[in-house]
Amino acid sequence: MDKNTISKINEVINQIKIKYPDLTIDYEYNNDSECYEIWHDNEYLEYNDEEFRTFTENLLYKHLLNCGIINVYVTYSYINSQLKYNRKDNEFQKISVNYHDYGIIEKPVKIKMNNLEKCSFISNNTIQEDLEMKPNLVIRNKNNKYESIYNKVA
Amino acid sequence: MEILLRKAKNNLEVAELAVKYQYYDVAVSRYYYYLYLNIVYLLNKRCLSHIPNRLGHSESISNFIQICKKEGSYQQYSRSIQKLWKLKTSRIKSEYNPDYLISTEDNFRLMFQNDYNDVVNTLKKLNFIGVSDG
Repeated sequence: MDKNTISKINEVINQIKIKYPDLTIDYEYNNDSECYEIWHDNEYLEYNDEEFRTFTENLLYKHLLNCGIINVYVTYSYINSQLKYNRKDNEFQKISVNYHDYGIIEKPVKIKMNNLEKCSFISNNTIQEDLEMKPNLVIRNKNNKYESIYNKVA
Repeated sequence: MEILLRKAKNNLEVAELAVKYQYYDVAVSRYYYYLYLNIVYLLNKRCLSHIPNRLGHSESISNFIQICKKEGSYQQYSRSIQKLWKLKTSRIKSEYNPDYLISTEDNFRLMFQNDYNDVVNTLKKLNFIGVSDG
């Protein structure tokens, strides 16, 4: 990931947050498709709100596309929206668990701890470090730390 | 080159069948290739100095964006056009990711179809797909 690109993406995100403070918005880099996704959690805004689309399009164009950074897009992310979280003092809190690893499961899945033997752990990394390694991991609060679940055991 | 458009159309038809049979990951792949082959067709038509069908997907999408920029239709529609990257990402996940399966129509709509419609409607509006040399 290029630092200059990330800096510009953060600028776009910050400006969107100023106008839409209730929006959960972040970015992630996909190694396989070699592009950056700026994702948010509001389906209605993405597909029905022209003002939002124009506002974000102008920011995207001004800060990234017009600067030659073209492997980036803005979108609603259903997957990440399932991992609702709030940022507070750089810690992630909360969580809904209906998504595991990279997959979407047909219906919201209640993952039971006894089905996750050897797959759950209390990470010593920061949440950001873990998210970079496994951007779609499932997260739960636990004793001011967090618990990461990488694989569901059949 | 018309053969590319024929192949694109075949992919579209298979995509629609895949949705009917609820093979959503297959549909993602075929819908993507419908768009991608239209893009390769366009690159072949307009960029005679290289051979786009030998380029990787990222290079082809980048070159297509350059064409949009040159033709002045980019800024106004950039948000939608950029989602070609998302469709590409979805295609890779649907084809190769062993833990990724779209198994309901609702998930298909939320994870792919809404963005696909966004892109395809924009490219149709710009006459970048669905138009042959005739």
